[in-house]
Amino acid sequence: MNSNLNDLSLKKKRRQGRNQTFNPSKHNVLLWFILSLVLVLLLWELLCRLMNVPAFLLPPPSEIAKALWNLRTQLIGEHLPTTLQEAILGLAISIVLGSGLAIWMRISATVEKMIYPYLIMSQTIPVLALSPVFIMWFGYELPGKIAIVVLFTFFPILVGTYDGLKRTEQEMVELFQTMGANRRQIFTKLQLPSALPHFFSGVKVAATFSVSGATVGEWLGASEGLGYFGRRAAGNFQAPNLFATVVLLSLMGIIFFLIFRWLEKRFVYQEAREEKRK
Amino acid sequence: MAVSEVLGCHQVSLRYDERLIIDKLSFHVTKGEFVSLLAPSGGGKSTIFKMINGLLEPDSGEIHLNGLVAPSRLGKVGYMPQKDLLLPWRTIEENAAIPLEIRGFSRKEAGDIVQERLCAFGLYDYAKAYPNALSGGMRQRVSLLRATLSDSELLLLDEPFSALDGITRTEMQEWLLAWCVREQRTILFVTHDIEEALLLSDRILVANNKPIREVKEYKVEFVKPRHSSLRFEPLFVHMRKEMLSYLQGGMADE
Repeated sequence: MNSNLNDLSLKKKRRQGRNQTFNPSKHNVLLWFILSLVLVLLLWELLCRLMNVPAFLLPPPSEIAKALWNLRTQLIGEHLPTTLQEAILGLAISIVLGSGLAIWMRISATVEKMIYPYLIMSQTIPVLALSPVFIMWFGYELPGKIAIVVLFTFFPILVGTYDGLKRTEQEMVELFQTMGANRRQIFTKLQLPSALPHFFSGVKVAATFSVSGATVGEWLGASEGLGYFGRRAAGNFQAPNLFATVVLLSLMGIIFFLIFRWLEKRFVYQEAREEKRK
Repeated sequence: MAVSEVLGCHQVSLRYDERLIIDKLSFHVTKGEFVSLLAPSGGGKSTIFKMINGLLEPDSGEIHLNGLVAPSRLGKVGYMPQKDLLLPWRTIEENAAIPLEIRGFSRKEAGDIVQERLCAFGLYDYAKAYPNALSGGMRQRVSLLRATLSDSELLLLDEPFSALDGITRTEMQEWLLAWCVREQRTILFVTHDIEEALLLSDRILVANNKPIREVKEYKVEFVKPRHSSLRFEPLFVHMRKEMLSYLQGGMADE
């Protein structure tokens, strides 16, 4: 397999590479997590039962599971799709607009100078406080919810992509120039691929934010959706129902995150990938 | 001589960051020659290269490529930077293919051309590997392969072995010696290592002043192919001492 035997340091490096891919500790991490989750749930259940905590304050996990089961058609058939739709549409618009604007800022210095201050400001403005304004502008229907999801997810994607594009090493750009590359070639062959990891970090953050955005949008006024259902349950002191929606919402966030992590692994260069050959 | 001159610098001056780096410098490189530019560290050697490959323009004077004045040189000189600067998301063969892709070859055509050359660089088995799987010496070979695939007679090598450890460095020097005998490319090599310059070059240009005004020329006439044991020959040691005292003499003037 290795015909170039005189290069000892190479062999050493490759051996290290192999250790990276075959990683038995990864399974241990999952195992420990499941174990701790079971322990936490058990403790929670015990605490509620032994101390007679009223269910409207803190329902035991068994009650939440019961509520999930009883409300399954309503929650999963009716409210989940609504929230899912808002989150996905909002996130998709943010990905297009956010990365598009980041690219535009890198291409045009004028646009960069005009937009950059807002980028800094966006880090300090509480998006939650702006949400009612967006509802005023875009209404209580689907567009209003999507607008709030965009509000929550747009900046992480813009900042991530912009940072990534900015971070291309000047030496690399110069090397490409000495090869006679034009701006378009430098952009597509160098800057875009080197920005990809940062783009994905932004999208992964935004993916979890999109669920919060959809929930907030529904709190502000809706007739369906997990946020709406949860808020109504809270108003009626139906804590198990509220917790059931929280469980579904966080599962949604986790699944979004995992999807983009998978896409990242698929499309972004990985250290361990070199072992795939042969 | 003018016919076979690949690179000519005529009375070139360059300011960089308000500082005069090169002051009316003239030198030339002939086809098939291996010329080293030897200067103390921090003497603006890399800046000279940035000027020759077209990233910087001289403030006065002319740079000729293949005997003609060359006002725009980007894309016309093969440049191997000090760091290997390989793209981590491209395999070895994809990295080497970059200059070809920029020149307008399709990915397929570029891949075929790279395939033919991988053997000569000892990289055939690593075509599909990623740069992080390779040792420093091998990465430099990929970087050299990439430089040779630009459409030019002249190759600029900017201290390519300075980051390597001693043993790998000697191995790479010997490998480069053998490669040069086979390929007969025109090379301008920048280094601050006298031994390395003596071992590899046909001619050495030594600069001992800042800004670089003139270069003292040493002809190196050891027969090729050379071996690294050459460094123990009396003449080699003698030349080394002479060049060292010339370098130090210039520094003492400052």
